[in-house]
Parts: sequence; structure tokens; C-alpha cells
Amino acid sequence: MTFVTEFGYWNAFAFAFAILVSLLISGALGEWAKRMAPEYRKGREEGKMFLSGEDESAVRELQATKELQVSCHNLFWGFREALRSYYTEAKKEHSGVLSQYTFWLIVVLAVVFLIVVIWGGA
Amino acid sequence: MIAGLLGIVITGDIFNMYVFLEIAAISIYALVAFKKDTPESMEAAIKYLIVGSIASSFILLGIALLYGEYGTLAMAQLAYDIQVSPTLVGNVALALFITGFAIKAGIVPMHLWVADAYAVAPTPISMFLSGIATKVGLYALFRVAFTLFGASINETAIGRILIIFAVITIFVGTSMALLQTDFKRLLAYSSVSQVGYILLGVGVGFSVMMVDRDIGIYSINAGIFHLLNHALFGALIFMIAGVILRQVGTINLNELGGLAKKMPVTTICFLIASASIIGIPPFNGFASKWLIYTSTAIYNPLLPVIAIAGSVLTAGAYVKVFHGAFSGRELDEFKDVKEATLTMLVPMIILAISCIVIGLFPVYVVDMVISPATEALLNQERYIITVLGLRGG
Repeated sequence: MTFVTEFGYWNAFAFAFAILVSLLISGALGEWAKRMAPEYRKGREEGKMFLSGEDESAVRELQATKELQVSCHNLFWGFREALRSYYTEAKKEHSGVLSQYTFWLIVVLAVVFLIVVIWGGA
Repeated sequence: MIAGLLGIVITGDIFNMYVFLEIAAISIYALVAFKKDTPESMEAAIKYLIVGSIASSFILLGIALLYGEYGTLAMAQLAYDIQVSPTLVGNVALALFITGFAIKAGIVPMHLWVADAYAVAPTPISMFLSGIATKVGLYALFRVAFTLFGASINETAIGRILIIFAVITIFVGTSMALLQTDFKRLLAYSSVSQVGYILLGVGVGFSVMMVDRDIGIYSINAGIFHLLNHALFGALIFMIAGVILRQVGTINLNELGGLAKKMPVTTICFLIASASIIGIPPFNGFASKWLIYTSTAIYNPLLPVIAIAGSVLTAGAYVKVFHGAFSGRELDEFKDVKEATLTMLVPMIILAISCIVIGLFPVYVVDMVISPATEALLNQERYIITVLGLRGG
């Protein structure tokens, strides 16, 4: 059951047990915190989600319309923007032009050829 | 296609291996062009045909050089002859084999055909391509490197080539997956990156084999274990894409949304498959990735950092799929969408359960399946003695 390797061990059931215990502890802490704060009432401001300071009910109304449908190409905009120069070059290489494909095959063959022929022998 | 793929694994003759590889490849070219009414299918098939033919030419030229040098095509006899008298011609043949099989396995920068072929092929074919066909390219590469050349080559140099390929493959595969809005195209790039993980494990194993055989075996075990796992979760995730395409009619992630309520079983299977690919415990992908992280750490601490960064990017790609296809409110245009039929769900559920079971009990899989395979791959001398009937080399 326990996966013992050169670097340590792994037991999925121990992991599941640890997760369960963590959930129980965090749940108990949450309940304890609610009891310790007598002013807490479910459904008031403190129990709502924080949506960058926006009013939750207003956001929910907007969500019901198509205007707030965030399509997946909006995700990771910041990451793509940070790596814009890399992505510009990468897109050029993935143009779909067959001669570009074959260019890379020849380049790799030449590099591997040099390395194996020069250093490849025992 | 299946006959060809099985033949590659069974044969002990290097020319037969090439013939079986071609049988499988020609079937796959035709299957990629299955939807002959769509220009995209024909374009992808022609690109794959030309790139695959170049790879086959490299492999055939390597075989011809070996035959000219040693006068035999039997792998055991060739392995013996190469071990006894290694030559420069043998090394040239090895370079041709590495490049040829790397093209077949879709390793970066020779992966450009992968996205085209996987995205337009019928889903069962994409599943086979991702789960089995590219793995056979890796199998052939490992078999030639270990069984045929084995001790007669500089393992450190060859291992380093594989590691460099692996690192580039992981980074390019995952970063390009993040850009995609077509579900199958995203999966194609994700599959490319997973090949990088397999190659990383085996490459590090190759590099350290001369220094510490135990670590080498451990690392190769990790790579081969990930190969098995990727065949399972790779096939599962392509099945899910196929189910969505059939039930909804599109796999454009910008158009999809809110399918979790309509297709709950498919959604659960997707969550299991994506958690496995990302390497979240306790699924099978975690077990093999954990072995890869730990074994590569001893070789170079930067390698697991790159591998983990790749996993984070993979997580980003699958969060994008979950957000695009499954989460959010139910869209009006998909109000009549129904869950997949039982015949589609059963294979998905079987693969999802396999991902969980292997994740819970990885030790049995490694001990009973992976370690014997690694041992067979590495023990070149026993292979030669068994096939040729020699005693004492």
C-alpha cells in the first residue's frame, strides 16, 4: 500500500486521511469563529462573497444576462501579456506551413547528428 | 493500425519493426483524413503524411547503415555486434533513429503535425494517437537506445539530448495549450507536454545510469509509469471531448458553457482526468509525476522546478477548459443538451476508475508491470543471451 522509494514514501490513504482531518479542523474553526462573533448573521454583508468590492446581488443580476459571460479566451490575459514576445514568436512557428515543419526536422537531425557523432560513443 | 502497433512491440527484427511502424502510420494517415469532406482533415493528413514519411526515411536510412555495417537485421545479433565492435556508422544510425522516432513521438520542435492531426481526426482516432501511437514512437526510441545500442554509447550524452528535448517539450506544450480555444487542439498540446515528462524521466535515467544504476532504474521507472498513466488519462480526456462534440455539436471553448448541470457524469470524469494530468494527489498522474520530480531532483534541482512549473501551466489550461465548457450558468442554446448515452459513459467511467485505482495503489503497478518492463529494457546482455543462445557474452 505504501509506496516506498529512494526519496521517501507515499500513501494515498494517509493523504486522504490528512485531507479529511484538515477539513474537519477548518470546519470546526469556522463554527467556533461564528459562535465567538455574536454580531455575525447569515446573509448580511459579512457572509457574502467578496467580488472586488462589487455588490454581490448586482453581479448576480448581471450574470443572468449574457453581457457578463466571461469566455475562456479572457482567462490568463496577464500571463499572455507578460509573455507576449514569446507568444508572438511561438505563434509564428506554429503557422501551419509545411516547409516550416520540415525545416525543424532538418535542424534537429543536424544537431543530434553532431552531438551523437562527436560525443555519442562509449 | 492496431496490428502494426502490436507488431512493433512484438518483433525482434529491426526491419520488421520499420515495416510495422509503416503499417500503423499509413493506417493513421488515412484515419486522420477520415472526414474527407472537410479541407482541414485533408490538410492535416497530408502534413502528417509528409512529416511521417521524412521520419520513416530517417529510420530506414539508419537501418540500411546498420545492415551495411554489420550484415544482419536481427536486433539481438545487431546488439551483440555493436557491443563487440562499435563504429562511427553505428553512431550515425543512432542519430537517425533518435530523430526519426522523436518525430513519430511528437517531441518539440517536431511536434507541429500533432495539433493539426489530433484536432481534426475523428475523436476515437485522436484518442488512439494520443494514448498509443505517439507512445509507440517513444517505445521504439527507448528500445533502440537501450536494447540495440545499450552499453556501446555514451549514455550521459544521449541522456542529455533527451533531457533537453524533454524540457523544451514540457514548456512549449503547456504554454501553447494555454492559448487554445479549441478543446481538442488544447488537448493535443497538453499531450505533447506529457510526452516531455516521459522523456524527462527516461533521459535522467539514461544520464545517471553509469554513475548510480539504482537511481537510473528509478528514474526510468518514473518515465515508463507516466507513459502508462498518460495512455489512460489521455484517452479519457479525448473521449470527453468527443462526447461534448457529439452531444453539443461544438468544442469551441468560447461558445460552450454551463454543461456541468446537463452532463454531470461527464463533468466528474473530466475532473478526474484533468486532476490526473495536472498531477493532483491521489490520482495516478501524481504518483508518476512525483517519481519524476524526485528522481530528477538528484540529477539537477532545476529540472523538477521546470517540471512543476509545467504542471502549474497544465492546471491553467484545464481550469480554462472547466471554466469554458462546464462552469457558469446554463446557456439557452444548450438547454436541450443531454448527458452522454450509457455506451459512451461506460468506457469513460472504466478509465476514470483506472486513474483512481492506480493512484491509490501505485506500488503494485510499479512492482508488477513497470519494474519488469524497465528490467527487460535495460538488461541488454540477457536479451542477447536469450535470443542468440550465447553463454558468457
